[in-house]
Amino acid sequence: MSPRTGTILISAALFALTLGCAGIVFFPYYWMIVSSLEAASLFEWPPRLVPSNVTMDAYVKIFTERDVFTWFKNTAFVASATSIFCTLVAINGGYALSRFRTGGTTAFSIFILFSQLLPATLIVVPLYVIFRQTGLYNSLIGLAIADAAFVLPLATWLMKGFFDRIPVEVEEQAMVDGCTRVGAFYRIVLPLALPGLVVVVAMSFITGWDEFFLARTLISSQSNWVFSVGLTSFETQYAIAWDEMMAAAVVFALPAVFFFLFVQRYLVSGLTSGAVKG
Amino acid sequence: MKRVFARRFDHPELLPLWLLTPAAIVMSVILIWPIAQGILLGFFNTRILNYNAGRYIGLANYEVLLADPFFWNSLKVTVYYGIASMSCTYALGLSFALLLNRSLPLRGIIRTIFILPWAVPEVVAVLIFIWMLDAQYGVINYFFVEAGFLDAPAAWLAQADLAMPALVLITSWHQFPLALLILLAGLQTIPREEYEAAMVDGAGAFSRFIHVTLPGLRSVNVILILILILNSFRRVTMIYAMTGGGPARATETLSILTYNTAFTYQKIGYAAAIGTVLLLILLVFSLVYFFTIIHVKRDA
Repeated sequence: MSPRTGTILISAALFALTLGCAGIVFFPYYWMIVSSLEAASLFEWPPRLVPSNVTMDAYVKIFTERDVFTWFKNTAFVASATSIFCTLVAINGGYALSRFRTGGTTAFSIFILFSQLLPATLIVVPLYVIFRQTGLYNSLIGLAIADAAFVLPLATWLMKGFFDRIPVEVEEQAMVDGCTRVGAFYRIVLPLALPGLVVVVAMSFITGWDEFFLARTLISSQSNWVFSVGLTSFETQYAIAWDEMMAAAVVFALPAVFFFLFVQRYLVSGLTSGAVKG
Repeated sequence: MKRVFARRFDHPELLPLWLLTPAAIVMSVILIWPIAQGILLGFFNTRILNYNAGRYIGLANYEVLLADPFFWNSLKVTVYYGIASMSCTYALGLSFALLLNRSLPLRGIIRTIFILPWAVPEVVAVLIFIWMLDAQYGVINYFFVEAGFLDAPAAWLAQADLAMPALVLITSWHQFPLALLILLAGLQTIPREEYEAAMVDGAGAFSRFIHVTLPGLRSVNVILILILILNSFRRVTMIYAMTGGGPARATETLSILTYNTAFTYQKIGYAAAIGTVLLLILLVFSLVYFFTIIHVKRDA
């Protein structure tokens, strides 16, 4: 065996190993989808690894017999509100952090870094009481405000990163041409930062969409349930309806996965505060 | 250039302050104010039902806490979960990063598949695993029995000794893509010449890994390990949805104990004291993390 064939063999073996690992990693996804598609053969031992009688019954059922539509609507509302609210605040904060060096901005940067490390569980106990006292308890707007606050540090930090990539000369030129400082930001710089803006919009949308813990604590009435909370109720309410639960899980996960794959490459540098380039 | 610009325009202006005000208000009201309240609550005997009637009781909550076997159990569980999930997540992330850090056919698609677990909402990940770990029809039990790891299907989430491994399994499945991406970025900063020099010196693959790859990843490793531990200490959704801390408190981390004490046992004063202890632990780790990042950025 020549060294060259040896190298090829090793490459081929490593490629096979990579594919095998990818298969294992993907298996839970596969199992979720398969389980949602076969009602009849779900409770068999040994489990049927390849579905035999595929049916969409579970999908029809969750939309007609369960509250999935309500959850979907509430979740879409909360996620959109979280996204709009968070983005509006983050673009201003991110711009200030990117363009100015004062004591205030430095302190704020440090604060952002720390706030990403606060324990949500300690925050939520008093927050529950505050929400009860201010009437924000059990309101979807209240939930969206809380979600937005939790994602705001990361969103502001990401936005700062995107503004950093736009040279200051752009604003200087705009101001020479007669723009005000504020006008240069909103009219010239912000459009240039549009790709970054889209990332922040999508990221805060996903956070609002996926969020479970705050929704579980701050929402009480069933008509205000979001998807994540409703989904976990399958477990107790419809103990053995695994096909329906997996169908609902697919419907819930689909938008989140789609948006996530789009933002993931920006997340790493955001989550490590720029210490690791994504 | 940036500095000149800043000096010319920012000083007399209050613009940066105005721009930061909305973010500062939101974060103060939803993050800082509750944290301050939480620390204060730790000195009160408040219960959910008598929120306004809570009395100041000094350090009494902390005295109870030090004698509370559930607190010490929880501390042990937190450390166990933190170390176990960090190690497994890191090991998976590093193995897959090494596999992906080479020219592969279909690299884009394979990379996407490896990131998919992170994309799924935590609640969905939990439900898939509860189903896969089902004592009667769970497919994981099937594989394990077939492979000879288990004699008979196990009730993973009902047995105190199996719930934590199950939790570590789902955590590392969901979180390894973060480790993978960070390590992949780290691997790509190691100059190719170092590998070539090692090969000229006759170093084998393993020796190159020990002497070139690992040292090259050092700063990335420190950041990643701290992030993984911090995240595991703060994690709520996954554990709460998976086990709620049970069975027999086998998965009750400090985060979960805080939540259960407040909302199941309705003792928010005591819960706040537990949460404050968690906050202090996180603060220590955060300071280490913070100085590491400053250090890494200065070197870069």
